[in-house]
Amino acid sequence: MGAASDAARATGSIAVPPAPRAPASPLRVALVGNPNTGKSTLFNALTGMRQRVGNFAGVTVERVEGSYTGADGRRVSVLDLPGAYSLDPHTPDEAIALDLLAGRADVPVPDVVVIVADALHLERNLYLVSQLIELGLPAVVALNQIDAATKRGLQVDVVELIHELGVTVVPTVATKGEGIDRLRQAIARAPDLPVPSRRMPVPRVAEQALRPVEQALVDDGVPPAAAGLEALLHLTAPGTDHGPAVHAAVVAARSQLLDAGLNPESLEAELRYGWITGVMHRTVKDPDGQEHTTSDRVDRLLLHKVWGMLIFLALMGIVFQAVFFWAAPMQEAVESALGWAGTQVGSAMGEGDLQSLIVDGVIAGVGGVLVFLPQIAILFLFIGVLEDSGYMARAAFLMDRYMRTVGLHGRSFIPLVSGFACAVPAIMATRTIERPRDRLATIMVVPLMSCSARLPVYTLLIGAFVPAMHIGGFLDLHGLVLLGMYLLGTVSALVVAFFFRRTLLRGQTQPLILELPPYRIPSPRALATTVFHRSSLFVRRAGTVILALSIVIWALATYPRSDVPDGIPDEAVQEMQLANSFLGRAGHAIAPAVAPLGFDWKIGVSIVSSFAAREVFVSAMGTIYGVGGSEDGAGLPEKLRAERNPETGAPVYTLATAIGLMVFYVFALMCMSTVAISIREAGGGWTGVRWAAVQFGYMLALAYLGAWLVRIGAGAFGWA
Amino acid sequence: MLRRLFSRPTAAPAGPCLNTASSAVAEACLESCALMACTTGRRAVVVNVGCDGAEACRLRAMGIYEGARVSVVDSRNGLLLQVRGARLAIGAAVAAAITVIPLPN
Ligand SMILES: Nc1nc2c(ncn2[C@@H]2O[C@H](COP(=O)(O)OP(=O)(O)OP(=O)(O)O)[C@@H](O)[C@H]2O)c(=O)[nH]1
Ligand SMILES: [Mg+2]
Repeated sequence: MGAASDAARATGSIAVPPAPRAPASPLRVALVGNPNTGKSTLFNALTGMRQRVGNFAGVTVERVEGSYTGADGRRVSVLDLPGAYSLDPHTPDEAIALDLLAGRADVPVPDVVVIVADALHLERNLYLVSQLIELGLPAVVALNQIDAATKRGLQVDVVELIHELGVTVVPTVATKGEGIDRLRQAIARAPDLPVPSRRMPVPRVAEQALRPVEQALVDDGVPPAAAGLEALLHLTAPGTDHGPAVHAAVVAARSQLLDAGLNPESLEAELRYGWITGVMHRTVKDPDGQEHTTSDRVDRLLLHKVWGMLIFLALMGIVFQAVFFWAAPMQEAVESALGWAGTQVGSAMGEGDLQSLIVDGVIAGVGGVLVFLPQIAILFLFIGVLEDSGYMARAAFLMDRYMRTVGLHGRSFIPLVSGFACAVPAIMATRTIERPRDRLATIMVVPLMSCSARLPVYTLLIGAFVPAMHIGGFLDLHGLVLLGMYLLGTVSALVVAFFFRRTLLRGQTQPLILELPPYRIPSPRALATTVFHRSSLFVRRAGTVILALSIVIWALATYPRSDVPDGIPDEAVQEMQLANSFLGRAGHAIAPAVAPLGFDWKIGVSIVSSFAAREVFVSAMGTIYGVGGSEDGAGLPEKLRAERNPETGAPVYTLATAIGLMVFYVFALMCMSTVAISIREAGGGWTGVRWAAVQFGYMLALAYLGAWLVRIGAGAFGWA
Repeated sequence: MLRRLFSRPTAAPAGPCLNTASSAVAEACLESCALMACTTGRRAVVVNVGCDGAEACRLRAMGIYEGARVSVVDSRNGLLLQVRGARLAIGAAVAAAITVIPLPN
């Protein structure tokens, strides 16, 4: 393309060229651009990392660092940043990019800004591009998604675009790795080229009106190269980070502009888009026009008031059925593999504490959690399809008016759905919400969405106690109960949000402004990556946190060894030893607290041990019943069904107990990572701690109340 | 571009002109009306972005500024607009605060 030589045309720079740097220090590069342009995909292609990508605005919400070695052997450190529509940020995630470029972040200003533009939406993208080239930093434009643009019949004249922008433009297809080498070369050369500067014409009156503002900004420490940009930004959003001199200059400039018949509020948009119209005219050929795309036709149906909602509900129903049905064979395979491993290890090692640790502690504990991996992977697959197809943003738009009735925001929708996978990234995803109160309300209810860590608890109890009954069509009682638990969580989230918006978080909900991405067929490779990535997090968690807790629980359930009288059956011996262990004693202390819910001490102690992570409930039950029970080879569900109350002989677990337990887990916030992230995202420090405490407290209260109501209700109907 | 760049009259019509509730009225609306009143397929020129400061800023950056041309892709719930080649969904509240002049089809 001859890109680099053309880029040297950049002229009229008022910035001081950057001081030469020792070649040993890494070149710092930041990826900046509109949301959903492919920054993270490009980041992955450049660095070989596996950052999350998805087809909606606001996938990346924090700064991520990676690196590669350039052709000349120099390290290049790359920052992936959240997208932004302009350098005048409105949301916490948008502010991250600006803070970095303005030198307000805890890392230095990048040496090269890689401006990622999406060829399909070039016109809108050029707004931010035109702002970024005025920053006075070395820049390269990556014109991404060229393939999608070509497919739609758009032709971009890259050479002409380079002339217009005055910076190197490299066409790329990040998903296929095309143009990446060329981009690397352009990045390496960028610091040696003259820095780009303003390309758009500014009418004389505006120029004269703004000059004092620019001067005042420079006096206040703004780099001269960026003063023009800052001055324009100040016209619409008078920042408070500059002194009174700047403020006075802005006020004067505004009235001068008004006198000249210009609207200071919209001046920047008019100037930039006016220039962009010309650039588009000269660089892009769009023979078909973009009036009606396939996406629009699909939207005719999916955004329909009635059909759209029905399709949405049907999609959700299919997801939950699939989680149960598709996973069942895989789950059985994992289960029998674990059972086999248990028996093999058990017989190979001979009786003893070590054998018990491996079989009852590790295999029953961690394995008991890993059994649910197939289900979780399928859930991730479905969420991935929703995210990558572009449907997520549509659903958010569709749901906006319902969300609004409870004081949430259309933008709260994506965090809530991500909450089905895990509350931690979901809470971080609330950074795309502008107003702090809207954001806080969302943060407070996200953990009510049943995350994948609850799935093991639900599945264990449903599998063991809910009769497998076909209901008709593709519906099955197992899937239906599971769906019920998810619905309970979701509906409660909405109700609780409503209460928060009426009490602690009063105020108007911000109206929705959301870009809808074009639909895309999710690429199997990208989906596989996402599912693998998220599942491996789950496995890693099982191998670390859950493993450690399982061993601790095993030890507590095994020691101290107590003397038991001779001549009683094996099973009773183990039962007595368990009751006398540390865990047993703790359990009996806890028992009165959970007795009103119909839970025995074993459940009580499993609940308490799962305060750090919900899956531990399953592993604790596995360990307790492994240590205590003697029917070797029986799975945990069989053991649970066989459990009898030693005094009355009645089964400990009834359908009501199981439902009560599930309801408890729907509500309770038993996850340390969520508490930690809530503290940080709710404002950090004491403010954050207070909000997190409110969150933990209300959820625990709901959990207890919910489980109690199930017990009472079941009693009233006579099937407790 | 419909209007020349720097010559827009500053006094944008204050508030929506007619009764904008019914689309029949919007069809007949020759002068300015609220964007919310435009139906599917309608193109219009923005004359005033009368939202809150922050929202107006955001809208302008995304291409909805005084003088911009938008077209309504879908008006069934909220509004789905084509703005500068992108699809922008905006809630009814925002759409009601934006004044436009509808263009004849
Ligand atoms: N056709 C095509 N699609 C691409 C290309 N690059 C990225 N995509 C897709 O564009 C979507 C957005 O990609 P991301 O990398 O998540 O975009 P981002 O800029 O990081 O988005 P945010 O983090 O939300 O700002 C994904 O669905 C990608 O698969 C490309 O070169 N061609
Ligand atoms: Mg990203």
